[in-house]
Amino acid sequence: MSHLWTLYRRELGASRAFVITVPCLIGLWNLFLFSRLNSWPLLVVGRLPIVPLLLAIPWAAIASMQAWRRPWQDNTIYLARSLPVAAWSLLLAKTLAVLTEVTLYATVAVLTGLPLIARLFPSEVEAPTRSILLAAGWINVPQLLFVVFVLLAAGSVTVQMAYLVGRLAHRWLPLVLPLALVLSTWCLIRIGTVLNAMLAWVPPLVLRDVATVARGVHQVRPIYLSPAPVLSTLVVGVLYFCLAAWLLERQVDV
Amino acid sequence: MVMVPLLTTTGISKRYGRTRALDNLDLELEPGCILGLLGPNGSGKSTLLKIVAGLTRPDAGEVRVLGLKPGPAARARLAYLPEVDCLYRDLTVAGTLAYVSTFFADWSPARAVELLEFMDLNPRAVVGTLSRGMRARLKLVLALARDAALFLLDEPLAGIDPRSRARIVEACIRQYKDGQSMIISTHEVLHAEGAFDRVVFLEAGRVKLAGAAEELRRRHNCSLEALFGEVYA
Amino acid sequence: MIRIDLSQPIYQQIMDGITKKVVRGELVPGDQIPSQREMAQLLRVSPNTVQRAYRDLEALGVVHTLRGQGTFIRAAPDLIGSLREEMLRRAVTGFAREMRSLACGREDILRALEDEIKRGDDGDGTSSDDDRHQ
Repeated sequence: MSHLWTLYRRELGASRAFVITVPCLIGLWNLFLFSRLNSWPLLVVGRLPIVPLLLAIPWAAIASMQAWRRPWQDNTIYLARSLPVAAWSLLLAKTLAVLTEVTLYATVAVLTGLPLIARLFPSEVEAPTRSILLAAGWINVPQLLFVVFVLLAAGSVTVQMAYLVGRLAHRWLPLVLPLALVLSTWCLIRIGTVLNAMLAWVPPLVLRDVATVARGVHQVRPIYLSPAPVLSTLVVGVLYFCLAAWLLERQVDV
Repeated sequence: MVMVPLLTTTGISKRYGRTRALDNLDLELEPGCILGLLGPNGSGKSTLLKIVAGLTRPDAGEVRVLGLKPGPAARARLAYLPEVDCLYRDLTVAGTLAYVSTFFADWSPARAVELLEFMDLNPRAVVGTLSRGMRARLKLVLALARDAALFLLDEPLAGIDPRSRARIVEACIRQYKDGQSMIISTHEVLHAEGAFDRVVFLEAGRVKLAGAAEELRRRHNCSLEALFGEVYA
Repeated sequence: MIRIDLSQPIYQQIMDGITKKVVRGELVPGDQIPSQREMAQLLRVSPNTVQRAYRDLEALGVVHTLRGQGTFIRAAPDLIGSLREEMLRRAVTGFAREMRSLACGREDILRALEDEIKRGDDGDGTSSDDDRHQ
């Protein structure tokens, strides 16, 4: 466990440059939008803070790739693989580091963007409405975060596995890597579809329809969301994780 | 008590594309000796050590090291010094030692400090700012600060200026304790040959010549370095 | 300091080096010699080689090792005498073999020996066998 912690901190340390600069860039972006408040339409300025949040998704994929490309480029993979740790802990440390970074960026994006987004909504909200909104938030946010994290983690593991598959091909890596990426994503969706049917019995996620509140309807309607796609993605993600760990331990040459 | 061989390889082969790095290699090493793994570049020395350390798998054949299959459990008891420059550039010297030391139960902080001094390394220096030779020394400190059963040192003299080579060999000898074993791969025999108990000459992934260092000196009436020249003539 | 010639077995040279110092009287019984570890570092040779040399020296009775204290010369006078005799024989045997291979007779050998001794007395008489291999 302490090994995992050490590996995780090293991963964050190795991508320290990003951990420092990316939040700064996000902050600068939102600061720039603030300065445009009076010259650009509010509908544009209020929505552009979402851009960093959307970029976080491709960024997570790139970071997952970089987490393995970098050690192979600067030979630190030799040091990492000479440690008496199982391949899965190295893999887990990298996945957690990627998720941490994305969480950090998203948090910064939300915190610095919120004052702008808030302007889209009427400033005067009645007290009862506010309490209903807050209650809905408490129910919605944790469930949505769970969904987002599962998808991000599965995506990150898929990219990492695809990179390790590419490694098997030695110098054909640039060719095999995109192929492996497409194929493993396709498998993820195919297996996911099959699992979906098997997971139909799982009780749905119940969210609150916030839009109804915004429209002034004080009766909050529930939204039922099937967790099956999320759970099947989780299962395939775990499968890919095991496969990637096995590849690293038994197949991939340093 | 039956002596368990420290390392046995039976018929291991490894290819990289068309290059044959190891070709049906059989090797057995008893514990308690310093082995010189000699050969020119590309003779398979690094590949062999990488396989023993579990960084690479052979295409065919069996490896047993310290009675184990190569892997995390074996790595806990062996100290592997890679040939390549594998250090994290963003860490300091002390930070590198702190990082690596957390993983090994046999790490000796006292010896690490002693080795740093012996190798003339400043603990506060950032690894990325060190010269190539300095980084090579730091790598050696990482390996030698451990009380491992087996040391795998891949080209520890490469990238080291001639004057410091003697110092590196001396550090290896200082560290060596009764019952421990070392495999030192090198293509520069001159500075290290006194330290070898046994030597294996590799060529194209096969054993060209092997034996006890003293016996080879007596039989061929020449130094191992001279023998190296003859073997690969 | 013992000079090591890497073209000859090292353990024999360590034994000879210490024995010679005893024969010359540079080391006398009771003198401490470097520990095996120190000797290995000093000569940059394998500790196992030094161990073997020390073990054989101990078997010969030239040194003895006290646990935790170190290794000491302990050769008795008659042993020193016989060691000296043996090293002399070895040197002469080699010399004689070389002379015979040059087809030198008794007269040539003795004359050459006389000349060499005379020259050695005139010049610096301290040159030792240790400097032979350089």
